[in-house]
Amino acid sequence: MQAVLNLDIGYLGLCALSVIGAIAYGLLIGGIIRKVMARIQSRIGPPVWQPYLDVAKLFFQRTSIRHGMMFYLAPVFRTVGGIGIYLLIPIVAGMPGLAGFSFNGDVLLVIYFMFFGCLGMALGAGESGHPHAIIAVSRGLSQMSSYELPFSLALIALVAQVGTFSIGGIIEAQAGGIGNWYLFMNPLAGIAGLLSFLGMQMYSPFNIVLAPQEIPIGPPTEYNSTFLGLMMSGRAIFGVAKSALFMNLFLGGATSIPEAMIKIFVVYMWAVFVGAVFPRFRAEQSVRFFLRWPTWFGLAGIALAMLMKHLAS
Amino acid sequence: MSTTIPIGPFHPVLEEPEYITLQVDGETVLDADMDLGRIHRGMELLAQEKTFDQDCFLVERICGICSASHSWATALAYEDAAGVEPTPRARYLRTIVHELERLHSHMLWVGLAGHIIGYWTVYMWGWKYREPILDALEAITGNRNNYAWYVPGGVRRDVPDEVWPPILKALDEFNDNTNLLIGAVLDDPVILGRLKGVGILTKEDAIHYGALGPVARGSGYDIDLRRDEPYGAYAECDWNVIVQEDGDLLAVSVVRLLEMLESVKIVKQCIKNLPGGEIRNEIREIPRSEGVGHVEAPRGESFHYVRTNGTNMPERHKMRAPTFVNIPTYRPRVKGETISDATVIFAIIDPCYSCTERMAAIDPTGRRIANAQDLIKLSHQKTEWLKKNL
Repeated sequence: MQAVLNLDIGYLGLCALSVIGAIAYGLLIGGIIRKVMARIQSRIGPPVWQPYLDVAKLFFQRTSIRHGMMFYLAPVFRTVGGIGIYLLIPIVAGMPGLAGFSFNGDVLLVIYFMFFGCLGMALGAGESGHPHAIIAVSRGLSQMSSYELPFSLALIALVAQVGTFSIGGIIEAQAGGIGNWYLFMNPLAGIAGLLSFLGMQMYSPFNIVLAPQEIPIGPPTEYNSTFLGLMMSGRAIFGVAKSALFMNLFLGGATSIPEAMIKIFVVYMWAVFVGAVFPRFRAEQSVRFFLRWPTWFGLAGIALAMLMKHLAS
Repeated sequence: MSTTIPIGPFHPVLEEPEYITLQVDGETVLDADMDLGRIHRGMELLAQEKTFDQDCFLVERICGICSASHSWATALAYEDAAGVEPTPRARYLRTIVHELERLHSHMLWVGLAGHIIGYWTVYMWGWKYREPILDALEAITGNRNNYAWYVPGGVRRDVPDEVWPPILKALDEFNDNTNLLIGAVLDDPVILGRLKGVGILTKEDAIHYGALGPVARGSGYDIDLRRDEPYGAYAECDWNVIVQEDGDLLAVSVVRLLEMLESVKIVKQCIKNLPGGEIRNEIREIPRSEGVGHVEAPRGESFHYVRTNGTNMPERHKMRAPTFVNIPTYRPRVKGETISDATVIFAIIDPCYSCTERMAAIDPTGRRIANAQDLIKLSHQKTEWLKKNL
């Protein structure tokens, strides 16, 4: 809470710069992913800077399509959700502009922001009136509810083990080397987190929400121009923020910008590589998957955390 | 309460413009309707304005994938009308190209199926494995597609012997790659989850709807023109008709995958036993007559009928691509499945809409009536008419 109270213009400026950097890094990762996927598939692929060109082009376009107010606000909600998570969590511990506004209880606020972005998107898609977008919203909300359960269980396991609701506190508890990372200290919660992270990132096999071949692109199917550009930016920072969150919870956080960039990239690529070797699940198959193994791992992670706490006392 | 979900006319799952509507309750499909007629090209009329030789090249344009099938069926129809047999070497050469076409068509479908279920790696790898087959076709005929090779009486050009060794090597590699894909499909729990027990077409439904090709064989309906009415060099080759009993999407996929291995066997035998001699029996004129040619194309039986009047142009040229009879099988397959499955079900027949469209049916008020039920009704009316008049 201390960081929130010590706000000044300079600090906010650094935070704004950091947000722009995160969006740029998210877009770069998007470009690298396209290149890596192309190589896996024996293609050349687009240049890594293609997402920058796409976003720039979209921001310079105007639309004459008129929908309701929520349609225009949805990309804003989406982007704000991503920025909210990004600013809450420490990207690089102790570095101005990247240290985040972590306080006790921020874990709960992060979960709220994750829902906030997706719900905004859902409202916008519903307002678009496109039947494909509405199907995608129903799929997206059911998938989100199902992967949030194991993710929340993994978080509860960490909170029980560390004894704090602060992401900063969880990072501090992992200081001292790789052996202290919660991915290894509580591998069961780590697995639950890793599996639910696949659902968050929406790559195969959990990309039924977007499903380009069934309901072309899903919720954003009616979006174009600046709104789509904003949505792409939101997706870029959302991806970085979620990867950084996972880094903080299970991989010991980061103490320098290169370390943070590498860890975020590795976490991001986990979802990409899984996506390269699996086809897409149906909506109910995704839900069933998250409610089975990841949930069991999450519950076992809580039991392990309680046991370790008991043994330590 | 049911909702209507439109698929098409332009949609990523359709390579050609078609309009399909799904009646859904939530994610569950209650019914489907197919509204064809958006890519009618007037092929039959065009064919009736060309000479016999030109016809074989025209009908290749019916389909960009199974162009050899239509061309061969047309050549067979004219040979039937003229009472001429192709030379033995031509029969073998025709069989080689036709089976190579089956290989690249089935591999194309494997890629598209991967694309539709979000398996991009299989999509791209399938198409990568297909490339050497297109190269082989180019080496034999001069073209990757639309070979301009089949003519009444034989084939247009001979193939030098030095062409075959690299093709045999490519076939060995293709065989290995196909086995890799078969393993990938049959061992992947997500693919099995998407295909097994989904979109079942029973054998009774397959017969009722007149399903053809891998769609019929995937439902345990054991039909294959290559064995049942042998043409080309099929009777002289050792191969098996692949049949699966389950009728689901996985069964049809397995039929296509295993058929590729059989096609490789056929091509290798044809190359090994390729007879020498002439490649074409010249047909100078065709008397007033009728002829029928049908071949087992990758998607099922391609049927061509010609009626000649003593000139060098056909009086009537009727064409029927297998997709025409396979499209109505969407309905029994898709009912009760989810919207996600519907797109795979549409793809399972390996549809070729532009090959199918021979007409645009309208009622007296000018309203188009060519949806699935109307086509079945028209088909039944025509069958009744034929029964009475033949």
